Amino acid sequence: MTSTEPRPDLALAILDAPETVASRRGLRDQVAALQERLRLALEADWAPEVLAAAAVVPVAERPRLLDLGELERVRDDLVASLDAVREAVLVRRERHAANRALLERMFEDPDAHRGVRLTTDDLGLPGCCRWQVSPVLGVVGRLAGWWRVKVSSGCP
Amino acid sequence: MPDVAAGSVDPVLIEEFGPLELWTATVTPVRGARRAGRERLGRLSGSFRAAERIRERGGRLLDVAYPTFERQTGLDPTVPPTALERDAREVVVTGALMSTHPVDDVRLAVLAEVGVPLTALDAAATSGPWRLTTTHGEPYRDGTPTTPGDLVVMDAHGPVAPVMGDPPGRLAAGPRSRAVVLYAVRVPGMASWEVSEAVWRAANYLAET
Repeated sequence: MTSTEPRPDLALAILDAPETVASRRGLRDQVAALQERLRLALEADWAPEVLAAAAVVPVAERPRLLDLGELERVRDDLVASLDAVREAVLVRRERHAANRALLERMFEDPDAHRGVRLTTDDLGLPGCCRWQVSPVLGVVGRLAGWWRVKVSSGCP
Repeated sequence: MPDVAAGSVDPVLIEEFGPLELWTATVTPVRGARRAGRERLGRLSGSFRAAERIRERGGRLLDVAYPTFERQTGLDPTVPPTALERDAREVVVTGALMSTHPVDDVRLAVLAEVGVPLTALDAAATSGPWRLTTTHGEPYRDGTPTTPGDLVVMDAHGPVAPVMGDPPGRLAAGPRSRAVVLYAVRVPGMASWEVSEAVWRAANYLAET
């Protein structure tokens, strides 16, 4: 039997060529390395929207022995996932920065930001604190135009 | 005390993936397993930091070696392949590991404790020896089709479960199973002892030894 003839005992003849075994293992190593980078990226900036950006259309419905072309697709999808995660992280950080600037403006001029509310999640901070521009003394403050930023201490 | 046994692995898979192993144990759950499972999950709920675990492991509860293997076999690891893990992620919302029935309680406890995914088959529906291999397109015992090259756990008569994911409904162990075949797959990146220990621990939980 020459090296390129399919072995009858294998499930997929396409996987049989010995020279592609090393290629497939090389691709699996690349996939493992990319998967670790993706995990680190998700760990560093964890959020449901970032995780959602990492999702791909799976190559297979059930786990299977992938051929060279399928492994290349997995690798390329992973690279695209990493890009999408980085983009989602950037968007998230920009949103947090904008919200922090808004919080500063809320403190400087509460009257111009009536009713605006921010949470620690909006600012990319841990915990569950809230900042809301509300009237002093309820209706009296609302009628008199007395507004302030009220800080809630967090979770009950 | 239940014995943990090594199943065989198709040499082609070892050539392709490296160190793959299959660890199995057949166990008869004792009557007190339900109450013990509930108590175990209750204790774990108080100490298990699911949110941290999920963050460290890229959205998963199990060891990071498994999502890598899922990726290498064509799955999308952002979606857990088992209903047990998908439901367990809800722990972040509910704050507790929910008890269902003894077999799944044990699988969940081991998933939370050591990060190894266990599968449980109804022992009445399968008989060993079990091995890790690829299909040639033959269906599961209940008629669920496979495609050539699917990675499966096979018993003496044919495929019984995918290597990652839930077995077909009629083969899976449930609340009424009188005896259960537990197994876990060691994938590259996992230590062999960790996986065999996980199966041993689950078997002993169920047998209350």
